Amino acid sequence: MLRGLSSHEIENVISQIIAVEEPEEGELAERGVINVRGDISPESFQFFELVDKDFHMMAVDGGSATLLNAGSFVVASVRVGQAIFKGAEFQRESSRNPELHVFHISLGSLRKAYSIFYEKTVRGSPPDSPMGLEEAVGRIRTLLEWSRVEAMLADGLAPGSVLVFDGALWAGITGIEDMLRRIVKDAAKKGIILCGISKRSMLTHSGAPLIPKVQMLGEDFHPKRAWFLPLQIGTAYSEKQFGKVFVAKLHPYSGHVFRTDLALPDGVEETEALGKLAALSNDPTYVGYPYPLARVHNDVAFSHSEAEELRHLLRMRALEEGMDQKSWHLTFQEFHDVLDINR
Amino acid sequence: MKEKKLEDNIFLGRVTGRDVTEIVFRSRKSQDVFLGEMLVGLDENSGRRFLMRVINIQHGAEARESGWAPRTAGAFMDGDAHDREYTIYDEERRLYHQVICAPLGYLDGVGDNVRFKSPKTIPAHFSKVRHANSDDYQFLEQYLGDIKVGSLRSGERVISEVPIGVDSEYVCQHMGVFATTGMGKSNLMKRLAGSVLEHGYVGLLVLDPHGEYIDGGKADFKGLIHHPRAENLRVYATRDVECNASDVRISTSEIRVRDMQNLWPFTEPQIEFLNAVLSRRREEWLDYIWDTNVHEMFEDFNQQFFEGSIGVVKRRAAVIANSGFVVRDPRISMTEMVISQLHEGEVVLVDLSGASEKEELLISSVLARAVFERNAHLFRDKEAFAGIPPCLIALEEAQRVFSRAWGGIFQQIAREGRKFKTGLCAISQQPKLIDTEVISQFNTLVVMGLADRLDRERLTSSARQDISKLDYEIQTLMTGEGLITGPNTPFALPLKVDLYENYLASLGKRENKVKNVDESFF
Repeated sequence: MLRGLSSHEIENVISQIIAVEEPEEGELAERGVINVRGDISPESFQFFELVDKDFHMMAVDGGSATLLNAGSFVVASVRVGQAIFKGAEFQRESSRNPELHVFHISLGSLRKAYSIFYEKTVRGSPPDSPMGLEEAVGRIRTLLEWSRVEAMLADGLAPGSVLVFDGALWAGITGIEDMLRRIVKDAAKKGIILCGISKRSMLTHSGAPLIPKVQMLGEDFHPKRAWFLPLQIGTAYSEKQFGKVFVAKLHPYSGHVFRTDLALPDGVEETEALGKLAALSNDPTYVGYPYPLARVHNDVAFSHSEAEELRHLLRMRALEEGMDQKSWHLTFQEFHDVLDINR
Repeated sequence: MKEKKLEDNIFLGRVTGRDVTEIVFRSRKSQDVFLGEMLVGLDENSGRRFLMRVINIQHGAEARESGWAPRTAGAFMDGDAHDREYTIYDEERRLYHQVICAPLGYLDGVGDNVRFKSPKTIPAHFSKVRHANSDDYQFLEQYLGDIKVGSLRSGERVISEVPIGVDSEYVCQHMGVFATTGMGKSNLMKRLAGSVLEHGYVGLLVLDPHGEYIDGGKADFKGLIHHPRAENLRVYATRDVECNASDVRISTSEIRVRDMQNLWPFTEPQIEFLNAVLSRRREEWLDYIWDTNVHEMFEDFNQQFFEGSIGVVKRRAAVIANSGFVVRDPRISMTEMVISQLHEGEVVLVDLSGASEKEELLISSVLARAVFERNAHLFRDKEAFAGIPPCLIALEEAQRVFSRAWGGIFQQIAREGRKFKTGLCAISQQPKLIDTEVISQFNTLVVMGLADRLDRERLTSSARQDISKLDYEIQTLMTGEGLITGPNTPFALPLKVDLYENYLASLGKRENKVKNVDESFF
């Protein structure tokens, strides 16, 4: 038994996990915690056919890392990339290099730093500010991702292509609604299927997390099949939600299902869009997840050695600029590291 | 250093590690790399070219989790069972080969100043790796040997621009040719004899117990008589052959007591009797035993030996006497002619396929000793000695005479022949049966496919270069492929022996002129 552990607290946590409690709408919904309505029956699930791989799929994702943490400020890095596939083939020539940013952000300069990226991506002044350093880095990453999506659309993709990104078609950041509206409209105009795949979702059903619930029901009702379930989000969120929302299982033997947001051009059915996503979701390592998205995720994620390299670069430049080694060390020393090493 | 743009400069990968004993590089999954291939790691910082040989190839995958590959294979198998297709996307990026190489050394310098150095350092991180090309092989010129037998080999590729052979300067330091049956020993020896016929660098005595060398032995095969320079070939035969050949004849005076001891086991009293006869009758010891009956010998030696012991010796001597290849008249013996022909740098082929095994071993011993002793005798006369070429005696099934139990001339030549321009070429499929001390005297080894681990171990412990890492390559050598190690080779040189018939075709057809030895002799 772990010393000091209260069994009462454990029981309390478990009861909260199990409890079915309808969330209060309002502020939570603003942040994406939406309780989906309607019953889920076997008939609620729908099916699609795989589509031949002769189409382009573009994927966009971002990664971030905190390089230095001085308590009152951090130096963070955000990298946003894209991958273009024609069928199963990666298109090296048309896939741009990832965009890498390193920035300083402090509690005092939070709005200013955020505004720089907001201005660069959304244009104009942000209507609000992030609440903390971590949220600021997250928002900057999201803004850069949307900006990359918009840039890809401007690159002139072939009609029938799929542009897939990590996340939902949800304006989670105040002020970006117009940008998203613009993106959706542009995609529809060009015949591009816009698709967000969320690895984690705040959607609930009768108070319980929606995705695992749908997955369990789907596996009970339709084992060893690929399927999708249209969700009823309601019209109350139309200012924030762009496109239709589904839970989709993209491969019969996948152990994962995903929230899937689709903005479809005229004349394109969701079955075609999902069939295209599924067509590239059969890599044995990432079964049920579109491979281009996995690829770009791996491309932009910061490895330990990359973060170390960036730290080293920053340190060298700081020393060249006159900062002494001791100041650097004392500013960014992390006693947790000492504790962890000697644990 | 600027590299020449050759097809061979296609880069195979980049070095990822490891140390001076092993270099590892990553290569593309779709890139063919074969065991035994000779590659070059280019150190762009120093300009050095690191020569290395592939000794192992492993699968690699960019997957952090352990067990990724079996799990992925499981997914594929599941897909197979349910008619469901899986696709590995980005295969070239995610899957690769990890190629492990034995460093051979490095080339330092530019142009005429290129020097080969032993592998005492490593290429820089991520050095590019490519196939070795003709520029890289240029330094080998001085090491390739003048008695050509084939071409340099890189894995399965034959580098025909780089002919490779045995160095005549070192044949007196003895050589061994080792291979499992069917891996090309006889072809190699024919090819080697062909080079001697062409250029006459050495005198080559081929003792052939199987009758393979004269005409190839089989319908589709060619023999030494088909060589366009067959005028430099002298044939002695124990059977009827389809060329001018002399009879095999040795005289009783050339046979030693020790030769008999090698053919049969003798008891101490029998050996004492033999030595007593030798002591009294000298070179006529065998004639005496032939001509004298057991009782007379019993009396001649004052009844010091049992008649039973004398009887055994007499019976065995009679076996030799009954051989059609042994004569009393030393003038009829072939040995003098053989020696003079070898000293002319000719190839002397003694076909012993019509003789019994005992006769074959006896004749081989007599001839080898005659050559060795003559050369040893000439050694005293510096001028005469300088005028003779190295003599190489090729002996098939050599394990029979190089076992620990066998005493006699071959061991002596192995120990002392180097000094007297007499070398042995031991050909065997079972080197494990050859005495370690003897095998350590073989300075040039041609190792071809050997399936038996004990055979390989015996050679590994004796080779002039470290071939311990090439064990798997030796196992997987195909017919005609081999490795040469020698006093003058910078490392074990991979070899593809020319097919003798192809070699002959490349020489073009010339008139077949085997001299009639008998004509010149009598």
